[in-house]
Amino acid sequence: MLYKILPRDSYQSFVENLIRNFDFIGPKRKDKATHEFTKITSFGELDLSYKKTTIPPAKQILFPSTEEIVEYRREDNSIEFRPVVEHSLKLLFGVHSCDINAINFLDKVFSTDFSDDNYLSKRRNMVIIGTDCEPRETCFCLAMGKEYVTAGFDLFLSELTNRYFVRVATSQGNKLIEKYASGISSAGEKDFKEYNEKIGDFRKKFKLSPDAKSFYDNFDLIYNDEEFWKKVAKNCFSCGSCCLVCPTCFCFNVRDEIELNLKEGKRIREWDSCMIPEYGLVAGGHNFRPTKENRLKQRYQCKLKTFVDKFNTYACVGCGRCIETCLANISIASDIDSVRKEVTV
Amino acid sequence: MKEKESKKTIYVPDIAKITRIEEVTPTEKLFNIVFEEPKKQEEFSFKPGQFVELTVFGVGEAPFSITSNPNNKEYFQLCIRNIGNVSGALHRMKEGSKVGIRGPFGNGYFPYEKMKNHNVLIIAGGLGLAPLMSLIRYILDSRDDYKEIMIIYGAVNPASILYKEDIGEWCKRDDIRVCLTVDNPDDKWTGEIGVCTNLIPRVDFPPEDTKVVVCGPPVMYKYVVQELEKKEFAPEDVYLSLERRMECGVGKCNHCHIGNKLSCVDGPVFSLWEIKNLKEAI
Amino acid sequence: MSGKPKVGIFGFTGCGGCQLEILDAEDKLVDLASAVDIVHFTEAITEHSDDYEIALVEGSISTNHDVERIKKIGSIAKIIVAIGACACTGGLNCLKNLYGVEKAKELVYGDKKDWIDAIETRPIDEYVKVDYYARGCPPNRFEILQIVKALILGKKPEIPNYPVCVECKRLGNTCVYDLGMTCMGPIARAGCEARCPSNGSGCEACRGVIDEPNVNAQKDLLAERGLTVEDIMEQFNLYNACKKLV
Ligand SMILES: Cc1cc2nc3c(=O)[nH]c(=O)nc-3n(C[C@H](O)[C@H](O)[C@H](O)COP(=O)(O)OP(=O)(O)OC[C@H]3O[C@@H](n4cnc5c(N)ncnc54)[C@H](O)[C@@H]3O)c2cc1C
Ligand code: SF4
Ligand code: SF4
Repeated sequence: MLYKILPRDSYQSFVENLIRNFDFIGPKRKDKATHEFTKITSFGELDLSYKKTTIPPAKQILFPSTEEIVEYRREDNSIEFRPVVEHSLKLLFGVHSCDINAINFLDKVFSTDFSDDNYLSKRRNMVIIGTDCEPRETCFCLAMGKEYVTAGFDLFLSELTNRYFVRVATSQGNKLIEKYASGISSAGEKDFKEYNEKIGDFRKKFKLSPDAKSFYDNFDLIYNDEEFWKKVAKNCFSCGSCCLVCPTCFCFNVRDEIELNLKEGKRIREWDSCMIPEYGLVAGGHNFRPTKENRLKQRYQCKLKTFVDKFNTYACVGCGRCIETCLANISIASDIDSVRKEVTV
Repeated sequence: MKEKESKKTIYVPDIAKITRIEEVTPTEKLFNIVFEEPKKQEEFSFKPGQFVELTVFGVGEAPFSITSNPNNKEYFQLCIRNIGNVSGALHRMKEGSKVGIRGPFGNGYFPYEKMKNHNVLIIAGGLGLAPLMSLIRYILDSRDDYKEIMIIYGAVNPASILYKEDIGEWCKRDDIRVCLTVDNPDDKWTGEIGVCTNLIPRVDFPPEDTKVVVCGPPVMYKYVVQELEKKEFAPEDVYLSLERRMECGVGKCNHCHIGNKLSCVDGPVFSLWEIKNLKEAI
Repeated sequence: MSGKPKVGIFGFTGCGGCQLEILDAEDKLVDLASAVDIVHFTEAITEHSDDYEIALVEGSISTNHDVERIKKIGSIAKIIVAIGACACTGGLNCLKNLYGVEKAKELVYGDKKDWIDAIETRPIDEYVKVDYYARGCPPNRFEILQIVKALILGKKPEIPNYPVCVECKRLGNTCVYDLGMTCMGPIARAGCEARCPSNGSGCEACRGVIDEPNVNAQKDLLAERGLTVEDIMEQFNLYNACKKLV
């Protein structure tokens, strides 16, 4: 990691240079309620004060909601399968720490056991520039240990008085800042001090502080408490929104589409969710998770236990998107607390 | 930029040909399959309990266990129940048709190495005999490496009994014990009646010198495990094949997870100890 | 199914818009016509035949004559695909059941009401076994094509049994509740590519509801956003009165 300082008055031209030279994806206002990460063509469009994006910044690019992975052709009795891999260079600007931590999680998923080139080729061609943020009502990344990110980005900009404190995590990032920004200097004592204060203040601003460790330890105890889970899942629509908007959720379905000429076809993967009844359904009609209680319990287990055992990390970065999207007012943060309360009384 | 001519990904099947189809029950057929590329066929090797992902053009892909003997290098065989889109389309196919194959997959297989010099108890329910067939064929090739072998197989009714010829052969041998049972007998049935769990109390193998393998429908495991525990088999010596919905077979789609395990890459065969406290496992 | 399957397309009480939707699948229609034999198509051709394997049926059953016709189709076709809201759920036509048939006849036809052979409106699956549903008002032409393709291939068409919320999220839509509107999306059956929410209005569940809708949670949700009992009933009944969800 290198630590550099970008003067405030070089900032705009730096960003403009990047916009000019890259397929630049950044936050832009979408409507009165949300922002979205989309192609930015001028500095004015970029809105770094964004609070909410329905879909996480990188997910739609690295792991699109529907993605062709194989195409095939049939001619009489010969069949041909071909991979479809997309890998154009993209620059993602303005990503928050929690979301970069989520990308790091997905990197692990898609490279463990087998390498998924559909994801990894796009990931290898993605430049990520992070920026700092202000916690919202629903943010609890601090409690998940994901409020700070140490890898997975090229540059990370934190705004100080009259300047930006830039963490340079890759040589690619270093080249970018050397090439496209002017007035760069190394960070000094004063800069570090202000930066540390800023991070310290930021950590004090969170309203939610669920105790995920207690969930990990007590999940076994509460697992068979049907009453508890019925209460928690009562209003769940099984709509899957909580998973689909989650920056770390990666479950997908695969289906084949074929042209009417029955000669050309493609294999597509699309986002799925363990909250949807069909997820656990197999041919013949057996469903491994038939009720909404089973499914919610499973989702929490996956987020807060499974990947702790597997990758030594939570599969939840505390971004709060699922809490905001849930029309049944189901909140992972308050349910973590409910589990703790339930087992301590 | 979408690249179409690039190197193969984990999702691209190899082309293979169905060389022989045999109807074994009203709902199950055996398919012998050979890779189109001779080199691929030569290299293709698998362990008992592993599975492949099979594509029917235009219809989709589904996982199926290999049922043939790993020593058979000429072709591999699947035993497929007609139950849905891919399996239904396969059942309508003719010899000579082409399919796509990915695999073999699964790091958890029936641990034939560990079974050597021990008694082997094999418990199969219904279609669960298909993957176990691969193991049985394999260990019978080197019968002397194993102590006693007992096969308990339960089918719904006499018509649905798979591999009747093989079972007939085993019954003739004096170095394998076969216990066959059906849930719903017909007039001609003279054998055991009831679920295969009922036969476990009769097993007289010493638990410390026995390896047990189990494969069957999801509902079967709980009861089989209860019976095996009564017999005091160590959970490390009991192996179960746990099948779940799979969309990819390579540990990405996550549908087959059982707690922190994935059936496709960590299984499908697990030791009972591994999954002892995993929720939803059995 | 082998060879070219013969397809009949039939209309009942509805606006005929569904058949237009099939016709509208323009560029694909040429392919469709070459993949199947269309022997009976109320809107497009006049030639009629009683020999077909797949029946695509549009419209709801609202008269005794309709009942006879749909039963005849049921006795000939091997596979019946219901197309559009009217055929699948009874659709808007079911609203008249809420008034009672006699009242509705009077409202619509005044003193000529006795000439009218009207009965309570029903979706077609109350009279024949429906194999597949291409839901919606209007139905999605790509879905109709997809069903026909699947049938040619002999596979079960993949028709979503998840709610519209899934499609909204896949599309990255802003939830219309966040824009101050209400929506039946959480219990409405998807497959329309979240047509209404994508265009900034709430879903009306024209494709019916999913298999296990959480009706109580949907009521709570609408009440929470200030809807009266009457408003809530109206939202539930617009396209799904025949299903008697509330
Ligand atoms: C490791 C493993 C080994 C298996 N071995 C055999 C075998 O030897 N013989 C056999 O007949 N069947 C076997 N099965 C079950 C077989 O995979 C399903 O019957 C098959 O997927 C049904 O697919 P379909 O397209 O015909 O059915 P559909 O209902 O149309 O299924 C659609 C898709 O859902 C998924 N799916 C549905 N049911 C299952 C299921 N039970 N398991 C996994 N995925 C499912 C598949 O991706 C399938 O393509 C095995 C399953 C697993 C996981
Ligand atoms: S928890 Fe909320 S968002 Fe998730 S499936 Fe249930 S209702 Fe939908
Ligand atoms: S589970 Fe919820 S809070 Fe956690 S990362 Fe996913 S969307 Fe964010």
